[in-house]
Amino acid sequence: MNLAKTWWRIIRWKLAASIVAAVLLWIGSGQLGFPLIFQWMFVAYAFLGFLVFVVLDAPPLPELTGWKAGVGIVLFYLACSVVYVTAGMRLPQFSSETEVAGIERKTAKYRQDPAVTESLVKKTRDLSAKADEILAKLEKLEASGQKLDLEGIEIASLPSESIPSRDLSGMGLVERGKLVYQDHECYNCHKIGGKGGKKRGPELDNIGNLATGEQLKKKIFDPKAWHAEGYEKRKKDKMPDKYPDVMSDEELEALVTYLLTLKNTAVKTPKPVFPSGS
Amino acid sequence: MTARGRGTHASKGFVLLLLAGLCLLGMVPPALGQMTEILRPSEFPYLGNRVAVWVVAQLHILFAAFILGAPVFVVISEWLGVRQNDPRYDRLAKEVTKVTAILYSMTALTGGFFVLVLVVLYPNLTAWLFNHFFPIMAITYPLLFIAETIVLYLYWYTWDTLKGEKKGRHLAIGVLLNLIGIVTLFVIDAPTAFMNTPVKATEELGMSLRDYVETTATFWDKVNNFSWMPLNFHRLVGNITFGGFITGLIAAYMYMGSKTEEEKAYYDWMGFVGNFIGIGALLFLPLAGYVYGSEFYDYDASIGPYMMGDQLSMYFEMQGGMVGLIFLASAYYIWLSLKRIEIQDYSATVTKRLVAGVLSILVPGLGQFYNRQWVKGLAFLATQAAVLRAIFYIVAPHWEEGLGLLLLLFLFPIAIQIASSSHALRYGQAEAPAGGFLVLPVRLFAALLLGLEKLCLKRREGVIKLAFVVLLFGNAIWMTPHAFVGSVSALTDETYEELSLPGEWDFLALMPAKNSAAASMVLMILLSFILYTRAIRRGRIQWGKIDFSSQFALIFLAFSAIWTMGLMGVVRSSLRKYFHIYDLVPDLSPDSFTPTLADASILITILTVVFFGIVSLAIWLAIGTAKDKVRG
Repeated sequence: MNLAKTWWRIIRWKLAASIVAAVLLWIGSGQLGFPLIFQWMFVAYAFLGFLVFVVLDAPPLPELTGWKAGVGIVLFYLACSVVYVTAGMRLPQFSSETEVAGIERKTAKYRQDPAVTESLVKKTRDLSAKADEILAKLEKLEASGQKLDLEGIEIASLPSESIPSRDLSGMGLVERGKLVYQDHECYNCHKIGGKGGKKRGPELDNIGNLATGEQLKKKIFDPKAWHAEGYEKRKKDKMPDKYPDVMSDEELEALVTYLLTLKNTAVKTPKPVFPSGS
Repeated sequence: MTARGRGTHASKGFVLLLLAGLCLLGMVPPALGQMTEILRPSEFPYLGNRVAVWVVAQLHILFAAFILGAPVFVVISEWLGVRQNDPRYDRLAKEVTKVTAILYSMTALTGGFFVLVLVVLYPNLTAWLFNHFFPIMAITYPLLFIAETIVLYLYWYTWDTLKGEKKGRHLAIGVLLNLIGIVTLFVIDAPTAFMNTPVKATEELGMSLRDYVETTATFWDKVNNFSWMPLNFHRLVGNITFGGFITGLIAAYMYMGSKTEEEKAYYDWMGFVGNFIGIGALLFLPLAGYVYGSEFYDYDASIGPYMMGDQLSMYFEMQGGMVGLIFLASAYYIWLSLKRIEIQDYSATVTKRLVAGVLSILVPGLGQFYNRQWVKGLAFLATQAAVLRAIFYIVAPHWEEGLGLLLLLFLFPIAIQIASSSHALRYGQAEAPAGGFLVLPVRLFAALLLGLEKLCLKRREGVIKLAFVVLLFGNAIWMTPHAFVGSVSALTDETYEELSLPGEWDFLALMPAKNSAAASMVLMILLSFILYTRAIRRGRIQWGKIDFSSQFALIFLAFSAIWTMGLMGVVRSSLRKYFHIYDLVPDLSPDSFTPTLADASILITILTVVFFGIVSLAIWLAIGTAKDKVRG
């Protein structure tokens, strides 16, 4: 009974203050235009504050010794584990289906056609054998002092499809382009329709009116080719130059086709600025 | 067989295992270098290759973080013991070293396990890395590891022989141990950092990344890549933080198992010191993390946004929550520590100090809210007076308080300004609001401490509660995301308005506001600690009389620190989306998926519990069995 009274004395004004704070935060944040989820976040903080101040004024914990201390530690670990796992599960998750679909598109060529991998492995073995042959010839020539004669030795080359295209057959070019945009995460820097990352790159809503297909292709594969108006002084956050290595020609074609459909004049997409002389 | 005999045999066994592991490691690079065929990797059952590598790597890193971080403060503690003639410091150093010696073996074993898993699951990548970092992988790193083993065991086994006049030699061995440890960390960080930010050619050279790395880049170029030094700084600070919290964990266990008041008093003190080290180093971690993270943004515009805005964004939301809880737990421990101090001297402070203190703190703060020139002028003068006053404290007996005040008064506004200006420079925008609303409560708190010391000491519990308010507020700002989605690509026209911050409040999600929040939280802990040291100077501390819940606070700090390291480990692994080495070695296997935060949380928790189990066993072996023997 005394313990209950003690706890009630500790909790009562703090609970009242937390409820008042929560109500004020709810109303205030709503008036200021915060969405519902942020209002709930602020309310949650009010009650976190309540918990913190209750713990601060809580009566001293009785000492645990021997096996009780051990049990206490194990239970404490269990409680922390449950809290952290629950928090990890309750926070918003990205769609694992979207993730799996993206992985499948990127790896489709290897999975659907293992013969390509086998062919690459065979060609590498052949190249290795050819290299050994050339080395042996070089050693003989060194010994005899003669010139190198490579006639008769065929040097194989890697297949031209070194960047495999993803199997996007059965899909319109614009739809394919949207997928390419998603898969290469262009949204991390660019916005379309107000959605996307913060202003690292220009908004693309009107790019279809401002650049041609060839100009866009050049920009994606060689970001230094031209820049957007207002972005000339950017020393950091420059567009990556890795896309020739990770994007196939077919993907590039699809992406550019999609970008050329973006013709929303209400959005101020900056104009391309080409280097003088180009 | 005595406990010492058992320990000696166990140590020898571990050394033999370690040497066997090193021999095996030494065989790997030449073997891989001679292979000319493409190796087919194996498939790790159930977990998949990437997750398997992450699990083993994370275990290794957790042990390595402790054995590299602990010796830093162990040597300092030993030195303090000599300087202050306080045997507690030497005992702390010795006990932590004993645990370090056992966990060192685990580090070596998990390291060998890590290499074997890499070779079996990713033979081609491992061969690539070994070839490009041959001097490190095959020569430097193994030699450093052998050197560290020798020096660590030398340090431990000469503890009782090199004492008295020979203590200096023992300290020198400790310093050598730390130097080798730091070099080892820096050396192995090079290939790790290279995987994320391989060295690029300058614009003048105009070479592609691949061509530059394969034909032109020197070995030093590859080592000294973009994120190498930031990673070194981040890991060094993190290791010391981690070591401090594990020391607190050791103290908590031993406090709970103490049978005498003397033992309880000692382990109470040890817990305080461990927490002090952990928190002291933790205060620099947000800066270290910010510098490291910003390096990714500068290196390639696609990595940073993927980390903070795309699929890994909620991982950082979770990290924000974890760090907030760690700060709250630290403040709670300081709160409990304050409660056991009996203050006897409440003599009044000098009036001039009161006026100068209040003015020098409040006026610069107020100046930020007014555009009137005369206020700004006064604010400038007051700031200079405050700096001079802080310097006065530095040359006065309590130099550490002066240093803390200098950091507060001088660097905090500069840090806020830099955060705000750098953001503007980067994006060519007007200066973003930097969260100036946090400046005033921090300054108010400092003003109270400086000018109203007597009141603060008498009402110290109330003053610390102010700190908690700022901590909660700061953490709320820090955790406020731009949008409550797992990935920015998930925002649709319908959900955008419902899940994102309104435009005029978007600054809450920007770095200046986050930096302000982090700086405020850091400074509140610093100020709380200053209040604590003032209380000690005027009173008497009763070691062994702390509230028992403080021990759970210490355990919580260690658990949360380990969990956060695991969380960041998943980020480290998942950051390499579709690549092993950025733009050089792709990974287009199904294993290159990013786990959801839900799945990752379960795996991180299991790993944390496993690590805790092993560390708890090591503590019992190292210290618990020795005490049982003494009592028996």
